[in-house]
Amino acid sequence: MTEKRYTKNGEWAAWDRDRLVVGLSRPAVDALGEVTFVAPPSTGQKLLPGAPSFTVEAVKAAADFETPVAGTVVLVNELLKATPELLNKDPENEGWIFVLVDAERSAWEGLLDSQAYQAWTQTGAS
Amino acid sequence: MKWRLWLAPPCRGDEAMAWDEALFLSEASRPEGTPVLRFYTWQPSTLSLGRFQHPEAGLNPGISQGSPLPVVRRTTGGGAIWHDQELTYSLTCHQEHLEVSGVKASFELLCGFILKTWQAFGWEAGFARDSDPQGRWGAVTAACFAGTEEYDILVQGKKLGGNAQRRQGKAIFQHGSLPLRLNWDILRQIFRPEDCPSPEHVTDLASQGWLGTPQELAEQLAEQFCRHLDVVPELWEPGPAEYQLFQKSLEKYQDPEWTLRGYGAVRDFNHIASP
Repeated sequence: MTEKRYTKNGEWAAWDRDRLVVGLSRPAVDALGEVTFVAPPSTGQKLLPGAPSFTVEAVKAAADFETPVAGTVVLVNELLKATPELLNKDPENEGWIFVLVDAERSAWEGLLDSQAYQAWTQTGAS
Repeated sequence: MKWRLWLAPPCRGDEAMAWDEALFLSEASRPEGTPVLRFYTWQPSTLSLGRFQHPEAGLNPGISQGSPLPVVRRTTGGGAIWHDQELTYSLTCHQEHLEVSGVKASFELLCGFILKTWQAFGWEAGFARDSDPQGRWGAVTAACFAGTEEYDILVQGKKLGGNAQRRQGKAIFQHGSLPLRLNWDILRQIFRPEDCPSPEHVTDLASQGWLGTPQELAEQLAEQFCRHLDVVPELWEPGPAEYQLFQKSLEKYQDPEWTLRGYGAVRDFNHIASP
């Protein structure tokens, strides 16, 4: 995967050739605590920012997250079904959540780069 | 800061969940809105399943399907709860309504009023994590009361009630079950032996010597809530806007597809436009 871009809520997106891999950042996962279940979107589903795309259930809170960029889901991380703790262990690599096609590069470029995201999380605003 | 306080009448499980969802979808969860604290009881007694819980997980055969027990699926995670002689609270707010950010901090803050209430009763009460800082918390259990998590409230070392939060963006919803008196015979009929809460680890208000009514408890909790969060309560009842949201949500909570197979669905309520 190449450079990651982030939303203020902690979703990340990174290009893998023409497909966009989406996941949840380390600070966002740490804020939730021990993950017990991940409900990804369905393959074939068209996702738009502004609507819940996936849900992560942790011990005390279940939280909904949005896709950072519009696109169609072609793959979900099946490993998270049996081992949701993978999201705690390695949220920004092995714990990826789904893959999109038909995503716009310009929309991705509008997200926060890692430096800006880090600055955002350090303000305590996440 | 003003919070609306709704001392709601007893209602069926599907109605209880639909009202909670309606409040979460309402302006109460927006930064410009006024948050809501609701208290209610269940009539008839009802089994609630966690948001992603399989309807048979931890339950004796035939309990969730084919038995006369009413069953609903919550919008919050965690394990199943038999809502019988209890008081339930729910609260809906936005992150900006709170003086803390983050899931754990908000959970601690929003459970604090329960802790303060038990302490005001003169009970030895604390968060589980404080009773054993080295403890390993968070084991997933099919019955909510059978597990112990970091921010569960323990009274004399035993878990009293259960709380869970749902978040969408910065919109926060939390509800919790506070058992006045647990019926161990029914719990043993509902939950498999290995998943059933036990009196060795779980307690209720009656066992602690508190024998008041749900309404009396709601008043005590509301008072501690206002003190703990330094808020001013305003007695309130839902209006037409909330009722419209309730009607829409009620269809879902009355649908067996949601109750029995909803554990696989991602979307369970409309999006909250949350800045």
